[in-house]
Amino acid sequence: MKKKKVMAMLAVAAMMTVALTGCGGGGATTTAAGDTTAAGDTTAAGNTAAADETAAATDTDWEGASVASGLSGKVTYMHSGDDYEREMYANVFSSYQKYAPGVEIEQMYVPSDYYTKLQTLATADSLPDLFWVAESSARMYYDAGLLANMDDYMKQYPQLTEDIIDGVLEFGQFDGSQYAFPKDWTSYVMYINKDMFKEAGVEAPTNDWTVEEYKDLAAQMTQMSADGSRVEVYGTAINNYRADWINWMGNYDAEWFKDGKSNLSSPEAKQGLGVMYDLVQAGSAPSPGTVSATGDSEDRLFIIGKVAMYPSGRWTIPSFRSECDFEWDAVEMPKGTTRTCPFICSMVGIASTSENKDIAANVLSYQMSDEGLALVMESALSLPVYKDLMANEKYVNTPPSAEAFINTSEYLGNPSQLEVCKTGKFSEYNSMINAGLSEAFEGNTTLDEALAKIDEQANTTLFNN
Amino acid sequence: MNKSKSKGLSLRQKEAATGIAFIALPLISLILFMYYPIIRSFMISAFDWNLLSDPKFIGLDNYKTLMHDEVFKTSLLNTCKWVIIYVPMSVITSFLLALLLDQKLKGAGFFRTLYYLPVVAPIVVVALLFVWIYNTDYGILNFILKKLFNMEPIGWLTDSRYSLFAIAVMSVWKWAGYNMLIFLAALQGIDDGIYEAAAIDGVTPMSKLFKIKIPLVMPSIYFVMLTAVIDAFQMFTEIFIMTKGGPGYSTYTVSYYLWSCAFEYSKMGYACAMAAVMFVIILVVTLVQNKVMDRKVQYDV
Repeated sequence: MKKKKVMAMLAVAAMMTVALTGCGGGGATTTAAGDTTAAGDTTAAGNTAAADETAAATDTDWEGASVASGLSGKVTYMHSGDDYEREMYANVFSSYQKYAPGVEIEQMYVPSDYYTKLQTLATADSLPDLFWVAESSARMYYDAGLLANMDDYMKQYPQLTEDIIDGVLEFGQFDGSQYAFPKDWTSYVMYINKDMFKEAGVEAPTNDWTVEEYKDLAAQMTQMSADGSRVEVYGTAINNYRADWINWMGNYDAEWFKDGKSNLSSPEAKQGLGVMYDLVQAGSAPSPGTVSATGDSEDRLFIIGKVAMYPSGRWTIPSFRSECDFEWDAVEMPKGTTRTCPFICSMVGIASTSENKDIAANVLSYQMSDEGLALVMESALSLPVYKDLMANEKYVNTPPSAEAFINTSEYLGNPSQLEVCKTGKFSEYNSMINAGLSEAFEGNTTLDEALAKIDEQANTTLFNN
Repeated sequence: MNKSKSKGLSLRQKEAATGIAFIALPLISLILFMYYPIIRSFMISAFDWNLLSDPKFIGLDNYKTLMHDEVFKTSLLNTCKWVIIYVPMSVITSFLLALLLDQKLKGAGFFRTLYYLPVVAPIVVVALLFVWIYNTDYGILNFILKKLFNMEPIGWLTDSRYSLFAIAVMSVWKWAGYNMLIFLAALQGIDDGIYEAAAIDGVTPMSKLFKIKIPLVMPSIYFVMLTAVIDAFQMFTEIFIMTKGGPGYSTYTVSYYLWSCAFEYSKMGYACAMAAVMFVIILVVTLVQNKVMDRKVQYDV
């Protein structure tokens, strides 16, 4: 391990010297009450306020409360997100401490370059006790033996898996055991500017719409400038982002990753991606390059009323709520031959090197309890992984109407996504797809050519075993 | 003798010790943070290593993979294109600006500051400014081209034919002021007596430029060329901010691909192999440049 540590330090120094930029996001150290120390990391512990309000195990439905009261020690919890999430989790930890006055939680909030920092900590044998890891990266951490087996903790805290949405646990399972736990998920839906539809005298879509209707509506809602030289308002937008293309291919039941190989050239995958391509070609959606060339993003275009329908995840809701000055709502993504919803989430892992795994598991159990999730879901950034909570407005609050989100949980998960995530090479494959699709969306190549190129590149360089 | 011994080191020894102490600090940091990491980088390039698992020795496999990696080839080609586009544009623009400001004009100081301002502006700000200038629908560049030449809008950053060139123009605008100052200092260092003698001999302005000014500022041109080529081979920030390598791989440079491999795909050994190849390329180009240009440089005028 010492050798690894030295190698890590040298590698980072070497890369900095020979190549480029420094990296690593700064953390911020705060207490759960929100105090920030000079060092920059965050602790939820040590605050007397929490200790003063010790709660009894009988006051709660959380199954880990009695265990919590007997625990003592310190754990570190590292996560990414924006400042809002930092505060949200500080509240969770602070609330947890009412049950576990002897436990100190150091909140390590990393606003940017999260995975670089996590990797650096992992190589230096300094992994936090609990940390977020993307569904697509968990494999690497498992392969390196850095994730603790959670099977025993799932038996100890049965509420963790009680009534859980089908398929979500699989993303954190390796060789039949659970190594990372899905803390939440985000569905992929279509946000609608209802005012724009009213003004145009066009009926806004409903959950039962199809892709053909979507294309028609996108064309109808697209408005050109008076001189006809440019588009003033786009009917819709597309993202060159994994959730977008996984969704479209999934809606045509495409096995876009099959038997360990990239299979984007399959007819179903082409049909799904063709929806995005056709919208750009028809001028109903700006190409992703056109949007980034404005220095802006697709969600901003929706907020400022330049896009009538925008496909995205639940994470956009807080900004839509505070910034959209028009009536808006969300409906399910239009149906192709079927419907699937990509699984986008950060999992929580417990470090195999943690000396306080019991405390870590207890903290996780609290975070995933009804009480803990209520604090997290309030913001509407994501959705709970439990079926019963999906039907509860406290956890899936409005606006927009909850129906679309609830329905998506019925078809959550994509077999190809799961298979490719298990290879541990998704990140590079994702870049290849983004690069290939952007060539097609910008009109530099046809979609067929782009997909054939991606398959060839991926299967010869990445999946050639 | 006994007296000096009792006092410790002699003056000469003290001076030597002070000198060594002064040299030691930068020398140690140079060895620790420059030469040693370069050597380690070469060594890591012989490993398959994702930073998380133990490194696995694979010999020259990373280099063999590089030879067949289409993205690396594209990135290398783009980097070479970038050097060819950026370096002459940058050096010529800086030199022309320096020539302009070398005139004894009223307000020369103001213009000097004006041209230097982009250098101190943060690159992120400049990049975003140019993203707007280059915008296909609303950008001022396309607006002007439409008004003057009735040209159809060009996707400066979205069309792979123009994107690299468009970023190069931005980069020249951003950094021209820096090299301009070096050229200006060199031009202003030329003895007025030489110009006076040339005027008496009836030398034309063009001859003055090519026979007097350029030869006399050749050491500065040499320096600027050398550093510009090295910088150009390592170009990263502009791409990272403006295009993220896109559309497709049209603006991928070796540095950008290297960064992606190291920090996005966790292929540290492979990234180090790329860094090693770049190191060798830059070294060879610099040595060739040194050989070719050294003959044209006169240091003794």
